[in-house]
Amino acid sequence: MPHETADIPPGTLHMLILKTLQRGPLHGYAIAQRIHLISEDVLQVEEGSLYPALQRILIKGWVTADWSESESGRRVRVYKLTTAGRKQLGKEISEFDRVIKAVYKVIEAS
Amino acid sequence: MGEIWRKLTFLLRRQQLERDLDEEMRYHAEMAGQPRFGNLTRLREKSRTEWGFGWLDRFIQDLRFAARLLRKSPVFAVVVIVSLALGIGANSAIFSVVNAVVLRSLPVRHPEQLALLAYEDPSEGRIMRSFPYPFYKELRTRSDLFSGLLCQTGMSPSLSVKGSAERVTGEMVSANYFDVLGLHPYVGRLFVASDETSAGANPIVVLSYGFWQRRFGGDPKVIGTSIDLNTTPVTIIGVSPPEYDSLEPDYSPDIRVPITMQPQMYLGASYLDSRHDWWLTIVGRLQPGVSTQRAAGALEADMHSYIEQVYTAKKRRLFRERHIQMLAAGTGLETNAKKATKQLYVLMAVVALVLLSGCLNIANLLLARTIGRQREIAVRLALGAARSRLVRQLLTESLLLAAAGGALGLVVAFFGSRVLASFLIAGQRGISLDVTPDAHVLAFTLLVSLITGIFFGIAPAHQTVRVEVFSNLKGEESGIIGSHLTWPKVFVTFQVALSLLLLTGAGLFLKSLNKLRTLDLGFDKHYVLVVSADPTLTGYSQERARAFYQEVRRRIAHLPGVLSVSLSNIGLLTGSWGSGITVEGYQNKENDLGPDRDIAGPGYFTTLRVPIVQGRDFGPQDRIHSPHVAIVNQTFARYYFGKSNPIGKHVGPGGASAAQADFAIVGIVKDGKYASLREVTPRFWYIPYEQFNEIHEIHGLRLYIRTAGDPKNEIGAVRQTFRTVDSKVSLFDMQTLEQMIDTSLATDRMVATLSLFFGVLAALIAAIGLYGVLTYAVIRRTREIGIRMALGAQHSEVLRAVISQVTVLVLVGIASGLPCALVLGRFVQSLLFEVKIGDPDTLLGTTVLTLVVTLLAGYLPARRAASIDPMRALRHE
Repeated sequence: MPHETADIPPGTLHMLILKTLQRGPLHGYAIAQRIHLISEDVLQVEEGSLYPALQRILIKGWVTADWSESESGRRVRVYKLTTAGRKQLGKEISEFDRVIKAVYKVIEAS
Repeated sequence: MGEIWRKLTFLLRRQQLERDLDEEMRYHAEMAGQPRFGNLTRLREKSRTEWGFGWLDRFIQDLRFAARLLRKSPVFAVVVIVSLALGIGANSAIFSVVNAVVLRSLPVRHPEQLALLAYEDPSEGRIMRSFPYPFYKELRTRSDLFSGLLCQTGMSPSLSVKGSAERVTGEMVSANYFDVLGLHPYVGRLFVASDETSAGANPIVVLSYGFWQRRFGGDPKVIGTSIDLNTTPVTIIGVSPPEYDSLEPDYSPDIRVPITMQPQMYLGASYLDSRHDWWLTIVGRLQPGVSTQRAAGALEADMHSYIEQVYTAKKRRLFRERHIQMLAAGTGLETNAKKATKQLYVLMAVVALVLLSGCLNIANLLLARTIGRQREIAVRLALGAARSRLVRQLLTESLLLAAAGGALGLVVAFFGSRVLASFLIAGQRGISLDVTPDAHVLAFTLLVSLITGIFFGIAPAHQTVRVEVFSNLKGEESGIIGSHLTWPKVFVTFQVALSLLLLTGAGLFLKSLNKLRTLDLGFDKHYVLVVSADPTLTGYSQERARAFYQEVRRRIAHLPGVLSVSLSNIGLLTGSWGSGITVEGYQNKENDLGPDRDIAGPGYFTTLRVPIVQGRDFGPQDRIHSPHVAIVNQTFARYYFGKSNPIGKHVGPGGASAAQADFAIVGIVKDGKYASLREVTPRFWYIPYEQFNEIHEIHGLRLYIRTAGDPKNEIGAVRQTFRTVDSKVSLFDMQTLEQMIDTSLATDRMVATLSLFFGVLAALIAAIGLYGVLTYAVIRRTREIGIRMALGAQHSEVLRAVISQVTVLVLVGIASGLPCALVLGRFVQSLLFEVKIGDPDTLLGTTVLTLVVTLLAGYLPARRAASIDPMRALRHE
């Protein structure tokens, strides 16, 4: 296996989904695919966590969902980032950044 | 906030959302390839929980499940809910009354700022609240303490509109009364400061809303018209707001006039300028930040400087011990109903205990149900259900039952509180008590229901936690046998103790009531009709009034059903009238308040059948200007004359009329009860009505009419007689002497009746509990008993075994109940009349009663056990 897939680090799934949606509305399957693709097949979003996460984000008001047609003519449910979602994304990225930097500091300490 | 709102909208669109989720997941699965997709149902559930409210959803689920279970056993549900409704309802009913009498704030602006001016009179040992008008006017200037200060006093004038007269209840108030309370007129206007100028100069009246509706049909045109109060024409200026009755929670006066109308309302001297007459109730609105203590401290100095100015040094000593108090008046002033506060709290405790006892039965029922559901519970546990979830589910079931019981209980409370209120205000004029459940009652009911539900739900829930999965599924019952009856046994013992406690209470109250009812009153209460009248209210002079009474008495005495008739001024059981006294050859002790006195007509003692120990009754010869005579009671004779003969000795009213100590004692009558049934017999003396009239004006008089048959039959004839003599004179308080005495016992009767009712109920509940638990135990032990019998145990042995078990339970209950009764009894001692807490008859009686009732309840299951057929029992299961 050239590329070993990895689990999504805990607490980052919301951020990944929101980031993926920043470039434009997507349906659930496409979100999973996009994350998989961009991470060069490292990150694999399980359906088991994707849909509950989407529902949570929906309830929080960070995205809205609407039905539309896919390129293949199928009815698909498309999620779209809201202003609140954009704000949340910024917050989550900077928080993630802070934590990761801190983690590196610990790792790189001699 | 947005999140909750979205959750709510999701709740409403749930079906649509579920379809959406399904569709998109199906699409995902198709695109990804079915095999990689996990458990769809599980996934759906997980997604759905994100929309929900978590515990609330689970609660609703549990609620639905509980409702379904209860629907499947409707008899159980109905029995439990109705019992709870009665139990919770009884609690809420009594609470409604407590709420109305003790807790509810007056419907005025900032009631918490109101405070009543009072002082303790050390010579009488009770709280007094009367002050002179000049003193009130002085205090009114203390704006550092009060933002407003009002005064008021009661009155009962005769009101006539176009010649038709009736006696009404009312209050005379300072003109700032409505202002201080922050009340606004319903119609017209209320009093303003300029309505309190000088004696008799403010002939205006404000009607209460209730009286305006009742007497004038709510006609706004009566504003500005004139009515007569005691022959003084006054103008109706407005109607007070409907929600406000008075500062006393159970009193709703019909009318109010400015305090300056006092001489017209009391038909006599003006008290307004008198610095010695203490007659006004003063209520102040404290300035923000001024505590009752601080105000009391400041007023103490004011009162003593007032006394300094007004009284001579000798008199001042009487006032030295008077210390001003400011009592919070936000819930109203002390009244008759408030005096029953302690009784109400006792009843609250009683019904709470009955509810507790009833809850134990319900807990037992639920426990039996849970044990019946053991297998189901074991299966669910084996399938992975969390015990905490099962416990929550069982508690939800209990709460559902309790909530249903509580809701129905409110209905019970609505009617029950009315019955209770009618006990409390029995027969008193102008009194009404609004006990309609309000927010407090609702909250109380909710709380009681909640506590109840948790209380009786705990035991079954506890049982669930202990279910052992494997033994249960294997069909063994090791997990429950032996220990599963621990709870019920404790419950039943406790119930027996409770019922003994409540029955003992009931016994004591009944005995006390009986003592009061069979008390030697000193007069014969049977076959006497009582009626009051006051012709001076319709403008009679004292002389004409005397003639009026004489004519009325003459005519009534000739009525066919009447044996005799006489009269007095204050009358029996209405209050007392202390009097000064001068006794020939006797020096009054300092600080002695003196005897009580009444005035009486000819034949008074004969009519009331008061035994005349020595001498004679008043007769027709004791007229005005004839030689002055007096009659005294035994206590009076003993106090002033010891062993020597009082007949012929002279006494007089003392005080200002001390000169007239020329009333020769002509008779001694037997001691009796005068002002109240519970009083210590006072010294009492009587002066003939007409002779008293030489020195004092007399207003109302009360007639006593002894009849041959039922006095109620004479009411019509008596009324007619008065009308013949003068139809303008209104009668009031027409009732039999027995009714009067009954009325004065209303609170005692309420406590005795209700505690008996609840005591018997508690005994029944304990009996049912015992019966249920034993029957259940016998059914479960059928097999064991069968084996024993097959091995040679006799019927009688089985019977004895069960009975002895019952006896132990009952005896333990009684043994723990008796000391409780003795300890708790001390709290009710003050409510009892001549009955001690440890009253042996009562204790013996209630112990025997408890024993009989509970053993009877235990005998039935015992017989059932003894009649088990071993052959059948062994085939059982």
